[in-house]
Amino acid sequence: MSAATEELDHAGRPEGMSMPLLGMVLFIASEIMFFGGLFAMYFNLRADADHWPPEGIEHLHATVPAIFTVVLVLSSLTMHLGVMAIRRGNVKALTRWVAITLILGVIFLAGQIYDYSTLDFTIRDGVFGSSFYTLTGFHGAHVFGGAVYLFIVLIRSLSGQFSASHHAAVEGASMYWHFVDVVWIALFFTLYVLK
Amino acid sequence: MTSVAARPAAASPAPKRKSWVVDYLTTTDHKKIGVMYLIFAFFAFLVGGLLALGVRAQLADAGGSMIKDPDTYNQMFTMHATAMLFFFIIPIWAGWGNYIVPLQIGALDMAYPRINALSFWLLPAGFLAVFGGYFARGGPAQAGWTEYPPLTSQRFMPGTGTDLWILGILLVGISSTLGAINFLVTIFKMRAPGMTMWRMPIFTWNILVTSILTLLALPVLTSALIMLFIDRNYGGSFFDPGVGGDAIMYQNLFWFYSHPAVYIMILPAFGLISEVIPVFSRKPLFGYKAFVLATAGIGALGFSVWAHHMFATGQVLLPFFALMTSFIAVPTGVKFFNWIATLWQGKITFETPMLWAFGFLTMFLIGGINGMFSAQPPIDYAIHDTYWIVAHIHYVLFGGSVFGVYASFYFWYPKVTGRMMDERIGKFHFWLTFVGFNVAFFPMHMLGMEGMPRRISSYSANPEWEFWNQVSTFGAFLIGISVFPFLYNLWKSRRGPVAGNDPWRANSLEWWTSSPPPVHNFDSIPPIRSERPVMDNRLEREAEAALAKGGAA
Amino acid sequence: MRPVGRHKRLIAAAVAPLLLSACAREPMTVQGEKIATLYNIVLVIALLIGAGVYAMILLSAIRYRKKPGDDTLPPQTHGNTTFEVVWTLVPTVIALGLFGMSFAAIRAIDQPKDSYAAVIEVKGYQWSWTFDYGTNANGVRVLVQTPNNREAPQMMVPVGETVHVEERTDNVLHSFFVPDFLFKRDLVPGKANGFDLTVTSPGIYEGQCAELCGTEHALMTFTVKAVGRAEFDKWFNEFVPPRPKCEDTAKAATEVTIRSIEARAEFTDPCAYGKAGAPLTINFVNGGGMPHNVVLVEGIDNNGSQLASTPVVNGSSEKSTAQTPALEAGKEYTFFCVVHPLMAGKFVAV
Repeated sequence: MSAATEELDHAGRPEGMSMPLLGMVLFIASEIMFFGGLFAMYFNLRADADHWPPEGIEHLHATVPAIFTVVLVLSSLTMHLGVMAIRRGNVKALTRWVAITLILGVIFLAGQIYDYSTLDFTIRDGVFGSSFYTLTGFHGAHVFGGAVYLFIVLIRSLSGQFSASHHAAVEGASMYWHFVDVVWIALFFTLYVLK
Repeated sequence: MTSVAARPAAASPAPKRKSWVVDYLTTTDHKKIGVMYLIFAFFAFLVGGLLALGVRAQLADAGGSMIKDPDTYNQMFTMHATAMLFFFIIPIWAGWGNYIVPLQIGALDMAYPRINALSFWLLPAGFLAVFGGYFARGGPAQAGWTEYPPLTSQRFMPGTGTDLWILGILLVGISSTLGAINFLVTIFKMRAPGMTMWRMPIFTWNILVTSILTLLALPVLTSALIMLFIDRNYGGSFFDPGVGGDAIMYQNLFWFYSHPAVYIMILPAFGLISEVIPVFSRKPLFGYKAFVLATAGIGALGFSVWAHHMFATGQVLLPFFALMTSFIAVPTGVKFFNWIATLWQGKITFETPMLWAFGFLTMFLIGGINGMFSAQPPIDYAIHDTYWIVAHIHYVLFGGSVFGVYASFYFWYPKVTGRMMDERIGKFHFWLTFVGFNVAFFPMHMLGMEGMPRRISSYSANPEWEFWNQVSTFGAFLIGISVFPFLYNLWKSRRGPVAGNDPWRANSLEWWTSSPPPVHNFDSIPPIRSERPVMDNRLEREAEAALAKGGAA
Repeated sequence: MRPVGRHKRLIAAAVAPLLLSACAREPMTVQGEKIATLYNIVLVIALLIGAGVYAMILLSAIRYRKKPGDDTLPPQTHGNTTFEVVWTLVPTVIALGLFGMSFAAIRAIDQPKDSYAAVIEVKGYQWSWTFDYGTNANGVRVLVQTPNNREAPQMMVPVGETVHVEERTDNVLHSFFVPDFLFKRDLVPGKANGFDLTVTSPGIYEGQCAELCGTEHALMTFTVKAVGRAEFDKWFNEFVPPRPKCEDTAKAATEVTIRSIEARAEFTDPCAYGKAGAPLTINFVNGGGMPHNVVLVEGIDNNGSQLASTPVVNGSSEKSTAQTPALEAGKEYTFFCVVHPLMAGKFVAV
């Protein structure tokens, strides 16, 4: 399909949002409800408990995760710069920014693994352990999925498949990456900061 | 991305002839996928029906002498509900949605044809996982389709059947979510020129609202099932009160999906009925916009009533959920009045689809009215978890959804096959089902008032319940028998009278194209100036013909 | 001669019992009376709405049938704002009215009182109940349970007085349901549930668990017996904890074998006999279909100090064994299954 028909929808009217992107928006809506279920679980259990974290578990240290939070927020910024670049048709800059975003994402995941290794409780240690590892684990899995998506975008970018008018996959990846980032910020404040 | 290339091009050269098996296994055509959905879902209906007959046979005597082991009985009603809800009603509407929605809005296919195929194939996979439980240690899931913990914790239910059930339902969940995204993008993005939102057929509108409900409610069930799986297999303690978990939390998360799921099962039937009634009374749907708004209202309110399934737990905010539940009656009532006003002053004919639509109106009305009782928390204290509730859900889901499903088969069979179904067998099928249905389910109201709880395998202490149970069992077997004339009709009618494009003199775009439609759906699309483009066009042609005739005279 | 009149009477004769059977059953508690009143009000509204809507559906089906040969189009009405507003507002008013009455009934039923004739702790197990009234004047703990999970336990209440029922479970969900009271409430692990009960006339009322709780859910029955104050006090003050007689002491041996019934939470015999004065071997043989074991404790209930516990076994004929210390003749001992605490019996040391 040529660039011109991309701009028109099936009914021949100017398109509001491209079809793949609309699909991504709807997918993210369902993901928000999924994490909504997990957050509801966390606050429910927290409200039921006499002590939170339960006795025998220290309040989580926020310093190290705070650094990785900054890393992830930065990666959202670099991803956005990548999208801005391709909108101007700058494929080279897109490749560069997506590569940096991917590296930052991998650093975040490594940080997550490091954080896990320092904790002295497991998923089996009561509701705190269960909810902590489930929330962060599912978020981590989403970051991993996003990283795979970014990797595909990177490969396609290197093989020159994107242009100023044809880059729905980049927009989709960016949207998804921002979503994963926002979920993490909510998680960080809920798990590490909230007393 | 690749989705662009996946859209079938109308001008593509005819592919080499493949065997129809390979053709269906690899197809991304929405019509073939739709047909596969219909066949699979009806198969699940038969499986679920056989299980229901097992349940009814067991309850025909107070001692429950047919099945000695109560666990076998518990597996039976659990799998009956699982088959009916997750593998029959929800998928069969996805099937009609797949077949009909692109035709109704004048699209070439669904938005993402390959994801569409994936959505379908996840269903049999989920079915195999859930029913694979019959070959697992300890048998399949047996804690009811609600699978409430702590009964479903590893401690009280160690078998792998429950894990397989969870995995199977998670697969169904992925299937439904992908399907919902596909429907929404198709409806938002692929309408034919002139097909504005306010000109869409009601069935498409209802699939739209259903898809939004699925998209937003289902992930919450997914989260609950994942937590249950972690509790069972990785030492989690979400629902284990012994270590700070909360068993009621599961019910909240579960019903946050499963109440909207009732609308996911019934709204497409509302949509279908709203297609059938105008066609067979030769009038437009009365209050089209109000109808759409009522559907949206039911969808929105549907998110705030989940805890009316939990009145007896003593753990929910009764006044809020009671109020919201009462309000659901308002949009449902509006729909009823709109249907009746559509019939009023019409020129009604009773072809089989219309007969089923009347069956729907009269039976779903009972399901709505007895819902007024269970919506009041104090009355629910008396009837919750009794056969009264079993009666209620069957009047809603059988008298509503299943009657709608049958209406849809008689209505759209000519479109799918190009042949008319046999009217006489169809009417016989209707009356047999109608009588069997009422004989099977009305007595359950009496049993509930007498205090018979659901999910019990015997009732030796209360032999006085035997009479109505036997009546109900008789009715259930009538329903069982009623399936045979339907299957025979499906088979026989493949050689029935040729239908032509528009056998019912109907309204919406699917009747414009040939029966069955070509691979690319439409050779032409008429101008769309209202929600009844085919009707408008027919009237124009008739007016022209009359004018020509008048001129000649 | 008067066919119309005869038809009317026939219809009335057919419909009247149906309508009567549609009314709520006669409630046996003060709380149930409020529920029955609400039920009957909703019934009247429901029948009126139902009759009206049915009349319109049937009337349209009869009156607006297409006449043969009439191919003209009927009037193409698209809507009528006045009608649509009316039939939105009327159901809204009805819904609000129903909610108001419901709300009042909820308040009346769940209003806590200052004092109660008795506070009864109901505990649910797989698959029976215990009713705990606390300790009486003689220092005896009034705990109603049926040995070996076999019969329906009976809850005693004074008639005409309000008792408070506290519901507890440490296993799965159950639901306390008495149809004659038009009431049920779930027993939820980890949550404190309860309700008030004022039985209005003496009698024995059947109840059973209404929330699926596993294999023997259908057999989890109980009764509530409402008696006069004097009889209640006598029962409470002279309460003797139920224990099997166990007079077959000739069976005593140094190796004791206890068996369970297949697919039941029940021992084959609620009595077991062992020789006193020397350590014993206890064998448990599972009848199959459910996990069980045997725990031996001192005293007349499960709460005494533990002397022996065999591992839990699941399969049919699977066996587990434990050693006990030396037992004293004449002292009370109890054995039970740790998975099903009400599956219990008396251990006699001779």
